[in-house]
Amino acid sequence: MERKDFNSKDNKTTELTTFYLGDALCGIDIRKIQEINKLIDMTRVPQAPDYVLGVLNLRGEIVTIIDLGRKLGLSPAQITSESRNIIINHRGENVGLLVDRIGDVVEANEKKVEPAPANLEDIQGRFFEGVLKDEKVLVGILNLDEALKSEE
Amino acid sequence: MIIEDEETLQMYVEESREHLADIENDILAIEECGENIDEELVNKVFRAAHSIKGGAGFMGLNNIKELSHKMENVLGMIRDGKLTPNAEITNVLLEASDVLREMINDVQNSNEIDISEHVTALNAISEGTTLLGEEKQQTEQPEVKDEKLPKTADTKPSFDVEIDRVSKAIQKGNFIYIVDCDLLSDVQAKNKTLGEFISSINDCGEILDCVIDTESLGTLEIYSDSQPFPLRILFASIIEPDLITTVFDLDEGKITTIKDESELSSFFEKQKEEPPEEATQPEKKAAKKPVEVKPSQEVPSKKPDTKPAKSKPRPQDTKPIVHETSLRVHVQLLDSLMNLAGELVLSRNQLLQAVGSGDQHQLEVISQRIDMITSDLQEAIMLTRMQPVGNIFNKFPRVVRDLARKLGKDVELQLEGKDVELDKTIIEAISDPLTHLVRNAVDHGIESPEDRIKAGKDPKGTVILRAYHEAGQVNIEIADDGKGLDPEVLANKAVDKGLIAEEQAKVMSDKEKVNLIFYPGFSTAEQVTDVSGRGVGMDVVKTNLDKLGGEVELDSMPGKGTTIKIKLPLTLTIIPSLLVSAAGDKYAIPQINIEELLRIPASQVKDRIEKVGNAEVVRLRGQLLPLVRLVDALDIDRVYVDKKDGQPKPDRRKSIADRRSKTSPYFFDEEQEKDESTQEVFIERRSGIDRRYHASSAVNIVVVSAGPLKYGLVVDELHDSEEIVVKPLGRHIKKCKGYIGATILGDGRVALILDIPNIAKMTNLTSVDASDRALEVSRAAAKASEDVQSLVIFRNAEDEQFAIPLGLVQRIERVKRNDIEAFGNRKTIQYRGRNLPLVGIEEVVEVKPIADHDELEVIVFKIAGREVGLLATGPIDVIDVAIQVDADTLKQQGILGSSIINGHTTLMLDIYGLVQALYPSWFTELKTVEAEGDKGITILLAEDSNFFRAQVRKFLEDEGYGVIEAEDGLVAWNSLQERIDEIDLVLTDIEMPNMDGFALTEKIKNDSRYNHLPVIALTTLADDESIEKGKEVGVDDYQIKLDKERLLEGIYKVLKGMSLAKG
Repeated sequence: MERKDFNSKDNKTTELTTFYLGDALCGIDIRKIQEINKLIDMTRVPQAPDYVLGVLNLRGEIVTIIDLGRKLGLSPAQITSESRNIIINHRGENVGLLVDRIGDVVEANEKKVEPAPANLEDIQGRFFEGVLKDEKVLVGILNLDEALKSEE
Repeated sequence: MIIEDEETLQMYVEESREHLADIENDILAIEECGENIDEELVNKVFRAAHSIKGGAGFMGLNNIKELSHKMENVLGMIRDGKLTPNAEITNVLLEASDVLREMINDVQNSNEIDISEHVTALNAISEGTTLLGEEKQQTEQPEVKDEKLPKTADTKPSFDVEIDRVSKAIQKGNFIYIVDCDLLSDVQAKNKTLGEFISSINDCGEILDCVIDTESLGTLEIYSDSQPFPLRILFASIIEPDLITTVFDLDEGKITTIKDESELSSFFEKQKEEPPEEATQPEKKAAKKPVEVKPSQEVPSKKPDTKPAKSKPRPQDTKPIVHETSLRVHVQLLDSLMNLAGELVLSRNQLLQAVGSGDQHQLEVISQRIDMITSDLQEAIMLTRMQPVGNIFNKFPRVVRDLARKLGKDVELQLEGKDVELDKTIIEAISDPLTHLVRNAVDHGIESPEDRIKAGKDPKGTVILRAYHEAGQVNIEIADDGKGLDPEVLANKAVDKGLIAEEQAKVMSDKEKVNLIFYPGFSTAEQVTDVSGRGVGMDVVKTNLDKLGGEVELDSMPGKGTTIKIKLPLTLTIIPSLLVSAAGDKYAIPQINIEELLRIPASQVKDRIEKVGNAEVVRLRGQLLPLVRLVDALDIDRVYVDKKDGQPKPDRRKSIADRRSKTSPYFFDEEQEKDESTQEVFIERRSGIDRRYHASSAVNIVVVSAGPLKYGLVVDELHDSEEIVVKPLGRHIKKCKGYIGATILGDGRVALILDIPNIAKMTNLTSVDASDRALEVSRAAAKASEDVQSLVIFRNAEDEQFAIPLGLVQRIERVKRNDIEAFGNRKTIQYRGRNLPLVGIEEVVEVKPIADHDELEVIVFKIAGREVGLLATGPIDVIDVAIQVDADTLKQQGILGSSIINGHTTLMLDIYGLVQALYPSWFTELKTVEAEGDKGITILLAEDSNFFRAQVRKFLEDEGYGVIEAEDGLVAWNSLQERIDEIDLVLTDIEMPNMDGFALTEKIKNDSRYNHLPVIALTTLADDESIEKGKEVGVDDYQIKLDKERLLEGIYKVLKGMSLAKG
């Protein structure tokens, strides 16, 4: 699979918001994130795909909350005090991604980004645009289009 | 050349659309008038075409200009009486306006569209019937043919108008002017739109032609204000030359007055000679002319035949609905909205103040005010979304006309209630279903004129499209006076297609039968025409309307016509709804789907909720209503209400058989206690008809309807009614069929809005077979195949269940154990001053002793002329079940056999056997009575249940009667014919396959060979209705199946009566 260029043309570095899904440290371009909030009262949606945790009211808009780990093939999320919702706007619709824990914001220089391996901490490589390899960290940069594809 | 100014273009497009919307119907009206031309109307269309043309010229939309110009020519001739509008001409005009609309909807590419076909057709009309303008004949050098753009547009300002039209105008007393104006400085700079400009001119005269000097603009690359944009208008008006300048608001020098024809023609010639590079113009004209002049005679007759077939389906079938991106709102409405917004701001300020000062009273006042403003605001905004239904109605005259022509029918369409307003989204959404229905009415409903005459009707069929308000809903009716629907044909077809069972069809009413047309996979068209029947038909219409919360109803009178009524909500975005909860979550049910609310108190749950097949039903005013449990439909874990604290607790078991383990990791410690209580609860529930109904919980049922389908939705709790705002659900949950959206409740939480029709589908309740009627049908069918017995269910020991036919029971008493007196083995109880002998089951049958309760039930029977009480323990219940009795496995004295009832092995008690074992003396007395009966009598016994047949046969043979058995009425009838000499009496069951007891009796009583035979009907359910029916067909006596004593007595009496009668 080809690595997509996640950097904008005029800027070689991007800021990534990182978060944990199980043991995997993943990142999303910070510009795609609307907000991050704590888990608030959700309404479950019977019969929805199992990765949909429910819907919640985000200032008058109905937002679908997705258990991102589960969507990517991990076991269902354990909801703890560190769980967070990352609200992103994906294809014109706000979606909340439940993650296990929020990490730091890291700078990703294009040079340090490599193609994703076939598997990153039990998550298939196809869900990543690439992997940021720093001295300390290894961040899988999430391919949102692939990750949020709804099953047909 | 396309003008860059988006705004102007947009304005032009919108104006043109409006013009076009009218053109279509006006053309139809013109056609209708025929020779009696309504000049006003023609003028209107003419002006519309003209405005379009004018604007198109301005915008450089050459194709549009060309086509509208040609239309204008034809219309001009109609107006002047040179042409009589007939169907062919109308067709050509309509098609041209279709293409025009297509081009207007896609202006950017309009110049790419091939319009030659339509131009040719229009020219054929105008040239085929009139003499050509002389100036046209002068030029004939056919050369350039295939240039797309040039045509009239890039010629120098020279008018393209028949000279005699001009002369005619002069004859009528008009002055002819040639006006040179500049569209930029004279129109745009003066803040007028082109349409306004042209219509203001049109108001005081007639524009004969206008041309834009595009040549002079050709070199302009950059749009510039200083550059002129010349428009030359040939104008005929009765206004005097000295006043004309004010009309145009132009300098005098720009207007040339033409006094007579000669001057005009010289002007025309001058025009032609003037430009040296004029070559393109004659070329173009010549190119057109020779092509058409020759075949012009045959073209008009040929065209309508070939073209409609080719191009007709296009505008109606594949043309996407143009979803409007802008909306016209009345200024008054806008003002009131502004007002409300102002008030809202004011209230907000007050609110902030009040919150700051903490004035409670003030707060209340303001909240009330805001409440009012919000409702007003909501209403006003809703109004902006409302559009007259006429917007879609108006396209139907054309649809009907075209279709009727194609099918060779004569159909008149009447439109009523065009002003009725509906939400924009609904208007858009009903367009397709309505089109389908209207076409169906014309295609299948209205007969051909010949057939209509034969049927004594006006050869002209009528289709009425009517919209009106009723009970907060909008009704739309499509009524035709055609042949109507034949319910039998529909029913047969549905049966043939396997959509319904034959028995179902038999008991359906005519209305139900005609509504079968909405059943998926049903299409009535014998032939699938390209007009309406595409095999998808009405069910799709219905589904689409269901989605809108609409209802469809069909009424039909064979020979008289069909009426389809659609009920629609006014709007979809804010809907009143009822909030309910299931398994701890709140859900909203649109009010429009709700029929009523039903709460069944705990004590009545068992009586009113029954099971038919696998479906639960509730009895509601004598009808059976299928029940759907919301939790089941949505597949959520059930919740029970804990007895102790009244809190709902999740019921985690997958099935009843799963034991709740106290050590289960799913349970927290604190729940263990409750666990025990629930186990109890479930034991109790097991005894009920349905374990899920806890005895202590009432059942809340929302009776909902989705079209003809009505069912009960069982929910945990009912809450308030609220107006809710429908919000869409995200992509990931779009596929969940159970919801139409979500809403935000007052507490900020999200509640899902249930899609009532889809929930029915999800639980496999489909329209027809879920109707309560169908349930009854299936019930009747079940009854026919198996005997339904009314049984009294009771217990002796706690865990042993017994049953006895209800017909044998006299009454049931409750007694105190202490009141029972025992003398040796015999027990009695004092009852109304007499001793009632009591028997216990365990005295005869090998079962556990009776449970040690303080209170016992006594079931009283009458045996051998005496009353006897059977001791039992509760709960005592009466159920109607179809049972299979196993007469071998558990049979012993006092027990007829066993059966499974509600999942429990149940022993069928033989009360005679029981009593006989204890009081044999009673029965010897009886025998002597019986012994007087004739011996050697043979009885024909017709009974389909092996068990009952064997039982009754045994009774009879014990009494010394000969028995001939028959499994059903038909077999009985056959044996009757073979062995009539032997048979003295017929004993027949009522419910039997092939031929039932009533039919058998009727046959016997109507046949002189057999009508002397007495017939005794055996029944399990001696209801009045069947007794009545039995008497009608000639049944001599009724007996209950297992009431041996009375049966024998009855037989005796009948036989005795016979012999007396004979003697």
